[in-house]
Amino acid sequence: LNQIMKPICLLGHMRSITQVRFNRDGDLIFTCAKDPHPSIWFALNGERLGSLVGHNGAVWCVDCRWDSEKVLTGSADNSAKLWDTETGKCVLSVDTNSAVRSCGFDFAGTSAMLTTDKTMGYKCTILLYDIRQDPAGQPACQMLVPESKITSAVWGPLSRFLITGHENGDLCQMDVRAQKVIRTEKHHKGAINDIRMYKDGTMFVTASKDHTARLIDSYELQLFKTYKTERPVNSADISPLRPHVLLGGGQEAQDVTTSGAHVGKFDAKFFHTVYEEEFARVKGHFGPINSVGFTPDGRGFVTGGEDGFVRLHSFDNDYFDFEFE
Amino acid sequence: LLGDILAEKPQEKKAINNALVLSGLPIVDSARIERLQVFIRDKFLDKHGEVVKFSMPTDENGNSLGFALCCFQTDQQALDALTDIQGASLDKMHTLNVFKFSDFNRLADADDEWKPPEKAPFVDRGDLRSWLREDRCHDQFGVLHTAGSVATIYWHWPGDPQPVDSATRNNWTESRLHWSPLGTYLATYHTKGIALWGGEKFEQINRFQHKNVQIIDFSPCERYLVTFSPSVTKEDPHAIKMFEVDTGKMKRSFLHEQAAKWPVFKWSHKGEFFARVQTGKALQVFETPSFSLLDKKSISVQDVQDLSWSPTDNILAYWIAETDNQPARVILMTMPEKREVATKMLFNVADCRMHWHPQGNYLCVRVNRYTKKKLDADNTPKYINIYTNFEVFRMREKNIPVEKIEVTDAVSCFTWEPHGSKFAMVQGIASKGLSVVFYQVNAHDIEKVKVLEKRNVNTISWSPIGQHVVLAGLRSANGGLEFIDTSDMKTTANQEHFGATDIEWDPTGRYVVTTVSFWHVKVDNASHVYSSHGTLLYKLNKLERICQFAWRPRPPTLLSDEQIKNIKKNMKTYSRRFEKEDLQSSTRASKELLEKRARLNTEYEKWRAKLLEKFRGEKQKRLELRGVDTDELDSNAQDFVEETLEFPIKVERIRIDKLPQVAE
Repeated sequence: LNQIMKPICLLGHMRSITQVRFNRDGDLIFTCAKDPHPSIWFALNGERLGSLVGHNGAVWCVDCRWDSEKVLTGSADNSAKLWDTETGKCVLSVDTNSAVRSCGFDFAGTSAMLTTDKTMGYKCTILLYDIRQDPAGQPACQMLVPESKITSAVWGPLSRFLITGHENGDLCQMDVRAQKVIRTEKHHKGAINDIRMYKDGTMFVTASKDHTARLIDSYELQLFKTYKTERPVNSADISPLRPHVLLGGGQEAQDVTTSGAHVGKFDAKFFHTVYEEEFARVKGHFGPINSVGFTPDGRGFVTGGEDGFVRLHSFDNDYFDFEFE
Repeated sequence: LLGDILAEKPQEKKAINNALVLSGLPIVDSARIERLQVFIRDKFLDKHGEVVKFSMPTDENGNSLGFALCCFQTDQQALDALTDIQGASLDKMHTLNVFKFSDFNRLADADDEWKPPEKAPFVDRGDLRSWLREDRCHDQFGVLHTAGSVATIYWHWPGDPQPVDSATRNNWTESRLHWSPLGTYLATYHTKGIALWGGEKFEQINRFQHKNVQIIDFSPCERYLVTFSPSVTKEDPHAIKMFEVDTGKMKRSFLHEQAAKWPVFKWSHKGEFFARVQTGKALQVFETPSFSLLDKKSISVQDVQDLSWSPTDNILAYWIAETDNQPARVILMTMPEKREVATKMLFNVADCRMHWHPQGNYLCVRVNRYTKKKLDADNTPKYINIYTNFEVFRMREKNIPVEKIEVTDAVSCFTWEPHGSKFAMVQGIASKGLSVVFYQVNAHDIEKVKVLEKRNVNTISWSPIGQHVVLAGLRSANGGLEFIDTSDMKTTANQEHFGATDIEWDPTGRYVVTTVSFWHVKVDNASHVYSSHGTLLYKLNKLERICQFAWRPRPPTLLSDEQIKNIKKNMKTYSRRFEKEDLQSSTRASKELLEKRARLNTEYEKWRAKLLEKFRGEKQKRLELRGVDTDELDSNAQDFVEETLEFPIKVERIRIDKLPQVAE
């Protein structure tokens, strides 16, 4: 692929980006970073709608409800907050015992799930809150994760269970309400950094420190495809339009000085979903890529990096006609 | 504690390790027995140390019995003597057979009756050279990956290397892979020793026991294998072992005496001799298959420092350090005749290094010379103002003339062009900028043909067939690769493999492979394959944590120079045939690829179909949860609200100087 796609650069964060997300309609982009103010942007031209003020620490995760009305954020300041998208006002805040690592609205948008980190004295925990009323800091139910802590989590189809990725590479289905682990699979050899659902929720892609991303089905956690790279993969997403998977990654923080200091050579990599072959790379970031995502219509993608930049790309016409011979 | 104290109780030393039994002596009568004793001690024993006890038993008539016993002061001296005099001949009829006294019991218990050894069943090893007869003459290479836990042998089909059947094995080797010099065997390291693999299916050919073996060397003919294992005790007589590859038998073992560079023993080109230096004292040249010293004695050379064999002839080159009253010398000697064929005196020598041309046409001795010499407090010499001379011996000319080149800059990476007459080196120091300099050895002089300045190069890698060379900056030098065709000294390509730690040409000189090894760098481990002109052909980066990439060597061609000339002349006719074959195979490859992809697609469709079935089955539930159909982006189009957003695109300021006067 030899296109030159000029990206829109969103410069709003002073620290490394932790997550980038689209709303369901694809007109808003949500970005959060290691600074305390997540931002919301118009996907059309990159203009900022506003930032969410309230957190006191790095914001690890963000999610937008399916109707775009509410935003959920989780932070290292041991709290998660629910915001009103239009006004940016914080409508609910809950305190947790440790940093909130993942968060997400369920399918209906009436519950929020949080996972917290393991710290001194507190085990890694999954918390479910009913957000139709003020929970006053009390979760509707919670579940302790005894062994390897959760590094990434999403709701499963119809929100019947959570799909969690762990530090040791385990992948589990957790029924929090019934307090049990439905299923565990070990497909990865290293921590699972990101899990992204396909548009219909029937399958998802995992991004792992073990230099691979994998395509897995949501119902039985069966591994179907593996995409191999030379560096740890921090984030991955599946195109809703074409059989393509996007991977973003980079090396560990401590290796940065020993490896290539090549300017702008941290690439977003495109793989063919079925053939598992890499067919394109897009350069531009000055450090590892921490979060990637396709636009909901599949006509572009966004990447957020360690360098604090968020780059929004639109594919040109060649991309849609491109076929493997 | 009592146990500890008991352990510290001094043990009685059983004084048998310093005793030797010498047998095979002539039987003499009492008149001559004393002369025989003196003869033995003088000729064989005294020079190895102090003999504290010597006894030659006699029968009741005073005649000797044909053997003697001796004790040295230290175990080391006894071992030295054993190595040296074993197999020495006293006269036409008698040869010394020496063994350690500690072995006595073992020999004494041997069966009285000779039992013929059992015939070993014939093991058909198959064709050990089968890989050479591959249809399209592709080479093989071995890759050690997954941090060293998996090794795979591949056929090098350019662009699409294929693993050889049953040649991907877990824990095949515990440290590295080592091909034998002609490519016949693959050696793997294990705690117990070395294993050799070969044949079409890489079956195990033989095993060689050597606990904790650390490094190995093959003789150039592949008949012998030398292994080294660092031992806990300094006196391990089996630190270095020599095996016969075919039978697996150990032929000889040696102490590891001084800190020396590997290989300690250097082989002559046909494996007829191997030699080592006893620094400052002597050359020890051994012959095969007896594995004893040539002519049963060492070659005493005072102040000898190092030796090196010609790669194509039985000529041994060695150099002698300078002493207060004698200059340094380089001497070339033929074996087994021990005839000196060339000598060169060198003055003001700090150090020498010998570099043979791969086809034996030249020997270049790099001499580090000094302008002033001082002696340190402990009498070690300190050299001031070192410069370098290169003495080139023209081996194929009558009387072996020697020519000199002087270089004032610091020098490194000296390399000869194989099958050619050029040599190259890196000159200068890193802070001022390094240059790569090429010289050509002509009929009457040595000409400096090219200087390439400001090159960050630490490795010069020539193609094994000559003419092409890669100047590489490996490891910390950023992986720059410059491909040069030395027939016109033009750079054909400049490439970069960031962080590359190793570079290797294939045995035919068609491909160059650079590797970032996991042993040195933990990220981006991959091998890149380039053509001889520097075009990047493909990358081997799907294997995890590649540690080592090693081409399988080839035996030298069986074609004569005449035949090779003829083939080059008729290149066009051969090219046409090969191009046709290439075209056929590429269409075959793409057809196979298309079939593979079609299969993958059908599998994927089937998998997706099953998932979609579940998805559709849940539709009702989804409607209930959200109240609207959100399955597609436009499923709830009726709820879409049109909104117009205005963004200013351009703001223009127009200055109005004067408002137009309005008519009164």
